[in-house]
Amino acid sequence: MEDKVVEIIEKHRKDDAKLLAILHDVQDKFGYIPEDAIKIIARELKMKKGEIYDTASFYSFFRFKPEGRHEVLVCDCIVCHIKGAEDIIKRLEDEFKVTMGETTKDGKYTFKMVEGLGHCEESPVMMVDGKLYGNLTPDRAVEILRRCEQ
Amino acid sequence: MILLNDAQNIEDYLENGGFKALRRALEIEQDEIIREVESAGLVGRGGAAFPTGLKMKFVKNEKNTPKYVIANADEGEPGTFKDRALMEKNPYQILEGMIISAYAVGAKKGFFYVRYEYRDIAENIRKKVKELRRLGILGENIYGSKFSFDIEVVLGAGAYICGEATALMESIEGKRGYPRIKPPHSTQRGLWGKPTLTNNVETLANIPVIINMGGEKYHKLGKEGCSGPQLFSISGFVKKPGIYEYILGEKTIGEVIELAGGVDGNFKGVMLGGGASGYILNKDYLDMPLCFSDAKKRGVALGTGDIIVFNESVRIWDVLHNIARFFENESCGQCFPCRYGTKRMREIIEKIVNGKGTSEDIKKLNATARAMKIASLCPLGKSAMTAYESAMKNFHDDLMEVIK
Ligand SMILES: Cc1cc2nc3c(=O)[nH]c(=O)nc-3n(C[C@H](O)[C@H](O)[C@H](O)COP(=O)(O)O)c2cc1C
Ligand code: SF4
Ligand code: FES
Repeated sequence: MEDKVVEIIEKHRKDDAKLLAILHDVQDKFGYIPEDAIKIIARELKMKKGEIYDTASFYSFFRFKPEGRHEVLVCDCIVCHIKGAEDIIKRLEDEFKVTMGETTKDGKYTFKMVEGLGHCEESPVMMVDGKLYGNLTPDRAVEILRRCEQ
Repeated sequence: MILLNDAQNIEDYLENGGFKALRRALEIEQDEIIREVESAGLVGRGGAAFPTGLKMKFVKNEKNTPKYVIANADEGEPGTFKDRALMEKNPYQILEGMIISAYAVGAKKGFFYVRYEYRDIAENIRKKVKELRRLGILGENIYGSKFSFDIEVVLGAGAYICGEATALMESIEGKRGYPRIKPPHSTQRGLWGKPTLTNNVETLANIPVIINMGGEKYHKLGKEGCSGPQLFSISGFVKKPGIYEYILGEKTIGEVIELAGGVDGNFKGVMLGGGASGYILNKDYLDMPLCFSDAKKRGVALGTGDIIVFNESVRIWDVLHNIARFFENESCGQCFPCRYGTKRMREIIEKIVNGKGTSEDIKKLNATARAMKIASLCPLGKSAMTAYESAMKNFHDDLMEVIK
């Protein structure tokens, strides 16, 4: 862990906007931001651990615990909402036996409800591991997720 | 089209006259560029419609250095997706506008702040920045001039408030995205306490256009009270949702809906200027030209330029509940009136949606709206009740039908 985190920090040493960039890279590497990584960042950037946690915890996409293998972001913002997002959410929750914000028992998916993915011309939409799927129906949403299990 | 041209690679961009404006700009005085932007009448496309030339002048006149420029691509307003489309199709025009602006105000460093949800776009902009460095269009002595400037791309991490200019600065500095108390204005003391020019990416894409055609000529695009092209995000119940580019003032709301294929179903209303902080309007507004002054005359605003169309299936209380939940989640929590008010607003509207609303609840909502407008620290709190208030005006009977 030490080496990897230090390497990330070195990569951003010359950046002016360091902290967010480092946190993103750490999260990409480990799947979340481990406590030990925060310690190392604090030491290297001469900050307090609490300061880093304080910043990181403000942002909804930073996470401090491991999550499912696939990140599923379901948009329930206004356009997706009026175009049927609630039906999709309900169906996914039934099908995968979770509520939004949770990870499935088998550790495959973490579901999150988000506030606008910026693809409202295709509402309702969801994003799976960074890839966008638009014009969803409840059936299609389930099908897309079942497919990435294979 | 002036903004939404398809020039995703540098060859296409150069072929269509790309970076001609930058080369010209580097040969003229900083003040002359600012004068062109002022005479063009360009105002910001990030929602607040502030005169761009004036903001440039504020930063240019500051003695304190170094100065910074920021391209705001946080695009957090629900129902708005035009910055995404512009960055996908015509990214170099934004970068060119940013470099010209930096030259005009005397900045050596710029930040391009992209929301987390557009991560792939941030990656692409990063590549383009490297490419421009290689070509001598960014970095030391741009096009052999004395002007040096570089750009750092910053990826956000999920926070609507970080689109607000000073919260964005806190975020770049590696802190929580708490808006700052003004004054001082960020043109005076922005990033790391230094003069900073913040512009929306669509605003920046207009700068090369102005330099190429001249401020006076640009100003003639449009009509009294608005000039230039603008991108409109059209979504909801229309047959062809998408981004549409029109000269400001040339089209009415109704015409734009028709051009987007017409209403899917029976028209009920629209939400204009932002799917959270915008206005909920009825059919009386369909003849309103999309122009800042016409909007102002009718007590509304174009905001981020989006039009969300509602058909008969949309229930207004349900929309208001969705918006209230959005604000409750996105209030940064720094000041009490907004932190408490957004929660209360969501609770009361939820009660109404569940069929238990009384006239007492409406009174409470109105009082909450007033308090938040007066006491909130930043425009998020001040605008959180705009949707509710405009809906109460335009859909009064509809809304009161379920109130006991
Ligand atoms: C809550 C809130 C969110 C905002 N989000 C954005 C945004 O995502 N993008 C943007 O360009 N401006 C946003 N703004 C407006 C900025 O504060 C600022 O006015 C703008 O970036 C200035 O650029 P312009 O003059 O080119 O419009 C937001 C403002 C508030 C109050
Ligand atoms: S008004 Fe809301 S968003 Fe703005 S500073 Fe206060 S709590 Fe934060
Ligand atoms: S509201 Fe869901 S993508 Fe815009």
